[in-house]
Amino acid sequence: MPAEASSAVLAVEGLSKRFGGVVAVDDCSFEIERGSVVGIIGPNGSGKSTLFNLLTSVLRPDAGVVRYRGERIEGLPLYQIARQGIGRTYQSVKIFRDLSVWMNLEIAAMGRGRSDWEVPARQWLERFGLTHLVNDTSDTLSIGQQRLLELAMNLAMSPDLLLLDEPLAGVNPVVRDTIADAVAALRREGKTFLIIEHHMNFVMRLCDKIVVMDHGEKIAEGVPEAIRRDERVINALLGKGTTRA
Amino acid sequence: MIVSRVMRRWLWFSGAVATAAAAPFVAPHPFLFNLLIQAAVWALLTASWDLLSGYTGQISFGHSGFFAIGAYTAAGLAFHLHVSPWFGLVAGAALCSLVGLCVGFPALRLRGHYLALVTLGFAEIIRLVAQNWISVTGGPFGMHDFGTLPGLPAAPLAHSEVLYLVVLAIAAAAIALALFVCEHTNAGKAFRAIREDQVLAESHGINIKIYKLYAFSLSAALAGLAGGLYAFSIGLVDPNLASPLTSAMILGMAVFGGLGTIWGPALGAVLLFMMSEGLRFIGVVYNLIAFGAVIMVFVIFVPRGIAGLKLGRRTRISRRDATQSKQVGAASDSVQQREVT
Ligand SMILES: Nc1ncnc2c1ncn2[C@@H]1O[C@H](COP(=O)(O)OP(=O)(O)O)[C@@H](O)[C@H]1O
Ligand SMILES: [Mg+2]
Repeated sequence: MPAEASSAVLAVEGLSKRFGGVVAVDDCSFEIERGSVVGIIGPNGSGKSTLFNLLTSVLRPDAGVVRYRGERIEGLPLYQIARQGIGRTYQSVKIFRDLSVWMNLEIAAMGRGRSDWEVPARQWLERFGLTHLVNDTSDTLSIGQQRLLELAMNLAMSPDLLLLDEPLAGVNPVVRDTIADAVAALRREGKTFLIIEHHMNFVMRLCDKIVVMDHGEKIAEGVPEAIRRDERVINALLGKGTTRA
Repeated sequence: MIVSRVMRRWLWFSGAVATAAAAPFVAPHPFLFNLLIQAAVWALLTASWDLLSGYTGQISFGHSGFFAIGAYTAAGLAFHLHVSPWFGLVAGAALCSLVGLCVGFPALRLRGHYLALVTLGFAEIIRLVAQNWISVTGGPFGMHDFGTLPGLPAAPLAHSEVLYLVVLAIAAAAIALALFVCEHTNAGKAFRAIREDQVLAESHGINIKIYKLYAFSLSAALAGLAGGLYAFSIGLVDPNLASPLTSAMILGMAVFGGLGTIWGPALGAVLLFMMSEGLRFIGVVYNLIAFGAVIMVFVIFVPRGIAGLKLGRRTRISRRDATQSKQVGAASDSVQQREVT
């Protein structure tokens, strides 16, 4: 019921997706409260990225319902989901590689039809230390800088909900801190995030709630302290050798 | 600084057009003007291809089809219905923009080689129709005696001079329109975003279907306009206009000039056309071999074409970085292909 689910920005019910014989996402349900940061953890191949792709219509779900601010959005085209205020990043950085840093931002603003983006864009570039690179081809940036650019392209458009797929993967500790600080600051401002991440420090420190996935299923959901002590979670994460905590 | 770069581009463009308009009057001869008219038509045709394939990344191997439709429409309306050539030019472009939509629609689901094959097939259909619909198209021998643009002087030299200036003005205006759309409008940003990464473009709110159709339709219209200009300045249209060779030459000229810049392919077309005509004295096969050799050299050593020459160093650096960055995270996202469109 949309009226009752007023505090949930995003509500996922029974979402499923199979690829041939593999059930990548299996009957997943959870909710994200407005202003909260929800973490998704789980071993490699447990369906986390596929879940993001289902939420943003990069892939079409086999079953399930996704409600965004009470309205069903599953099956809407990806571009409409973006225009409704859902931003996302990809596990392997996605930026427009042959174009300048600034053009990347211009395109992000153009696609969403925003006109009030330049000031925040410059602020994010400044904060991420990319200001001197605005006219450079984004291909020439380091991996960490590319991730920051991808993030800035989303943040400057102030999305209502931001999905981050392993934002800390493959970046050096300095960039890692920059990203963690940005998320922490935005969290204090009441922004809503859904974050896939392996770095347990980050997840435990910043998330209000954690969803744990294994083999496509949600095996646990709760506040960080509870998840830390959950037997099934420990087995799932340690059993697969995913000890990168 | 950005403003000045934009200004500089348009200043160069205006300068090039002014030079093209003035230069042949140094040694005026109908033969020279005739060559330059064809060069201007090739420039427009190649620029139109670049709008679709260079900017949007939708590789068309069928632009000869649009070129032929524009030429036959203009010639046919004048020949059969005695309509004003001006109207014929516009009608040819308009019909092409519709046909462009029709070709673009199924192409929304296709990429790369498949799209190239569909467009190649389209052009082949146009060629076969032109060859076999004899009552309308004149069949294999084509159409002639359908007249030229109205109001031109009768004296041969004056005629070719004025005709050249008119064709140049229309072609330059159309190329300027393509350049404007690609560099100064939201559509131009969307085109580049689509070329770079379609999923990412959509993730940032871009309706890629609409913009692909826009690119197809505008590109086809400009190619059709080039066809109409060709018809009225050369005075003969035949089924070979739609041949794959025409499309291959467009592609070669565009690569030579530098994809995704509009002015590069236009300039590339002029230079390569003049080169192959200039080399006709060594034989009509040898000049095509030279044409092919130049394109091969450019593809291998100057992949960004004439337009990218000054950027040579930057390009090399960025390519090295691209290969490095692809190794990170590629394992997982390589399976994340698009399913929903
Ligand atoms: N587009 C796809 N086609 C086929 N199989 C896929 C596709 N995307 C993901 N998978 C499979 O689904 C499972 C979950 O993958 P993924 O969502 O990437 O996991 P995670 O992000 O948790 O590491 C894996 O077995 C993966 O191989
Ligand atoms: Mg993943």
